[in-house]
Amino acid sequence: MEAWEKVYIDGEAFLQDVHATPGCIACHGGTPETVVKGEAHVGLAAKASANPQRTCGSCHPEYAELARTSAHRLLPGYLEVLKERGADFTNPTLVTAYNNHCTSCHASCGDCHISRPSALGGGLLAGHQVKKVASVWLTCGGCHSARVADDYRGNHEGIPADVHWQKAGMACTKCHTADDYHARGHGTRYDGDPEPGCQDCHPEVQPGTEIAQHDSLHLGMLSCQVCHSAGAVKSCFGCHTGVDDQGIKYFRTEGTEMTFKIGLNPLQSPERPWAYAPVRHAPAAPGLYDFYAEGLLPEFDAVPTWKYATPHNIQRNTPQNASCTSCHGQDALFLRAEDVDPATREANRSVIVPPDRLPAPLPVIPGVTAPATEEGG
Amino acid sequence: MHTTHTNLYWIKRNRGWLLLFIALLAASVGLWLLFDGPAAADVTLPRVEAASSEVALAAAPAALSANASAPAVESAPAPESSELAAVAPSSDNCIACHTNLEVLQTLAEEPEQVHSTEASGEG
Repeated sequence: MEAWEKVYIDGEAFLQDVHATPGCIACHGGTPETVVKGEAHVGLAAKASANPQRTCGSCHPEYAELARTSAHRLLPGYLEVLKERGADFTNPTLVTAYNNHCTSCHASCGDCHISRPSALGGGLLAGHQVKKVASVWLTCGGCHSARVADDYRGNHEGIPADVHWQKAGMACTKCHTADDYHARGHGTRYDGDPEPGCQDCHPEVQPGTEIAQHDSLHLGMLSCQVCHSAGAVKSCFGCHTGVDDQGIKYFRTEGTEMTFKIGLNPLQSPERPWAYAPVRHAPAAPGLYDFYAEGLLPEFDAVPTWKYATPHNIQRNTPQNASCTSCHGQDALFLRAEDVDPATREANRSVIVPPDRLPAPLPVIPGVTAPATEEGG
Repeated sequence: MHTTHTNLYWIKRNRGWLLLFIALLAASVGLWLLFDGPAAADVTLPRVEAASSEVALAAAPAALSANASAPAVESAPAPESSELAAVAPSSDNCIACHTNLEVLQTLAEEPEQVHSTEASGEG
């Protein structure tokens, strides 16, 4: 997108819209008396909805209220995990580190409804039109790309797209409702009931129905994605932060890998009772904030770095559910101690599958072969 | 007596200005209470969630709360809503430029991307 396209206002589409009524200055400020670019932009707030109470909230107080506490805006998951790792948010050094590196993903109203994410270079979505429904790929996918959108669309070589996209063409908003997007920020996104839950649309998945593997044992032990995730997902390793001698803040990450690992469910609860769930590695490292001071995360090992995952690459038939022996006896599918960096093994103790909890190889019964599998997703 | 008479005369003569002054003062106090006064703290600082989402905000210092409430912006803060309610200045100059392809193609510049040489890896 060219620089001019990013700031071009569609005179026909936007200026006829009710959102143009207050005028540019009302939301963005600036200096209206001049036509000299530099002077006109003095006092300009490019991201006018950064404080939604004062702009969007003038006409949409109910949404401004939601935005005030929205998970997309507050990113409470970061705070939750950092607190569990011992982060002391009364320590100014920790707060500086956090604010320098961990707040750039906040999304305000305009970030979804008017603009493209800065990760994509920013700019207006469509001539400043206010989109009631955000762009699935530019907006949702712009921020949730590597860990959701690429999986969902099948952008990883050799791994099919999610059947919900591949066959049904379902956009993000089909399952994730506006209430979800605007939801209050507290805890992590996995707090409470799975929303959406697979069985919300697939209530037929119950023990005693036509699929033998949907027995009470498997359904009780395994999250749906254990069997129906079609392949590896992106795991990120390491994250170190700092400020260089030019005063520029930076990240250093240690690379990414495509991994498919089944771990012990680190979030086992009445809402997620299964014993096993897919896990992926988060970009977390004990020395995340060491540039600022050592020991800012004294309880780092309290939270696994291999975290609960819900891969968006669902298929009916997958490599691990092709037959009983595609899973039983396939130790490499599971997160074992040797798969984990020794420096973080203690942190991951709750998700590493110990040898006695790996599904044992099935006995070979002469004359009995593995069940045939259906073609297709 | 004479002084009192003079004062009354002055007040009568300037009654209009005095009323205007009092009205402006009352309006200013009202606006302050509405947008910048103690009540404004409830608007700008997420006290509701601090009470109900302990993890996110209760333990966070003011700096962090303020940041969470109003994420850093690239430029100056948005105008007060009192300005929204008032008649905003004309946006004609803004519109004239931002709807003119030729002008934008000439003037629009990509913000300078600042990358540290220390940065490495994805993300």
